[in-house]
Amino acid sequence: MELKTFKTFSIAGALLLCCAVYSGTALGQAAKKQYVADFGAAFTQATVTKAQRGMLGLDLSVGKMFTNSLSAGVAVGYDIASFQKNEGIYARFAIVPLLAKAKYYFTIAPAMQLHAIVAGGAYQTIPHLGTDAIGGISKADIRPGGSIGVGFDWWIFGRQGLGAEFEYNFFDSGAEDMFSYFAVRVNYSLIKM
Amino acid sequence: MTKFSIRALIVLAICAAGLSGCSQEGTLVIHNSASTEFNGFVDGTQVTIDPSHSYEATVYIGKSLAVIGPDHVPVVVEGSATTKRPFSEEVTIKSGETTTFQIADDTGALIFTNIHLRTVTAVATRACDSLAWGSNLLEAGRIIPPGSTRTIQLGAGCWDLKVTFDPDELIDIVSDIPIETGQVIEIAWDTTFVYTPPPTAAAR
Repeated sequence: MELKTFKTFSIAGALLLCCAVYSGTALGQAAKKQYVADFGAAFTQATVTKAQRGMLGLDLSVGKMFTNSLSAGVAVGYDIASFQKNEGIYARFAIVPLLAKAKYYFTIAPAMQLHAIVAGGAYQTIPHLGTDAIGGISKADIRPGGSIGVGFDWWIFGRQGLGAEFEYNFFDSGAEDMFSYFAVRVNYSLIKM
Repeated sequence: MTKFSIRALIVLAICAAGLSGCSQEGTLVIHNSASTEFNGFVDGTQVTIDPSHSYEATVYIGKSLAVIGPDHVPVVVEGSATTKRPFSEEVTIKSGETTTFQIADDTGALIFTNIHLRTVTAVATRACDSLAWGSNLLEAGRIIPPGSTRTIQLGAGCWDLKVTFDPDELIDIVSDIPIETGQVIEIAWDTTFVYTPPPTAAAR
């Protein structure tokens, strides 16, 4: 597990480095008709019954700026929202969100923006659990849901930026209550002209 | 601007650290008020509770974020006692609270020991003021061989007992057995058995 995690981080790091090398720099933030890609690493935590401690989420979102403030696009990820090591067994609950995502930017300084997120789509659940269902889910399934979030972007390298965001995801669990989890994410962002 | 960014990151980091530790737990206390031992399962764990004793467990509810997330979870308590009919109930455990579940007597019981040389094939009861016998109280295919014991739960009241035994479906009737909720009466049955109420405290 540790080796896999290390490999995942290595691949993600190399990818980010390549992006940094091959992207040029420009001032400011994304503007109308430009594309923005966000590569995120997050702490993800399920907020449902029997959820254990959260873990890692890796996410990618790509959006087109339809105005200087509004972008729309898609997002995909792999979020481990509950994880427990028990007698050598790694019980984990992973979620693959596939979302259509809208993001609205509020400029607070030339290279600094806040943003709000609204998204909707499907969530693929991938449970590898022991005896307890988490949030009423014990089987792999695809469920409708969505997310809301807030964050900020710092376009520190011109066309590249660093940011952080908080995203709250929720989807139908098929049980009495909605399944929900949150992600506290650090993003590396790229603007494509 | 740089200071603002650093502060924002610090706030986010503190929030993340705080949010990751929102485990919700509650306490479940099961008190056995019944007059006999309880055997059963609590949230999938097998438990035995002596009369007048309690079983206490911390129940993990889940993770929550401020007002988002679970603050309660249902737990199934199931089992029986000699003087408590088999039951299965869902108990709601709330975060930070102690929930007490009482197990109380809801029936009396006969502990029937066959000391006769023949096998008992059926046991039926009727109320003392009734003419009609009820169905066989032994489970299908079950018998009471010589020397064996069965527990028969009976509600409060006065009961007549009809014992059918092999090999010729001979019948013996024991009359006027008064029983109260929570009371256990031991019967060592053979064909000469006559129920004699135990002496009351006043008589002693």
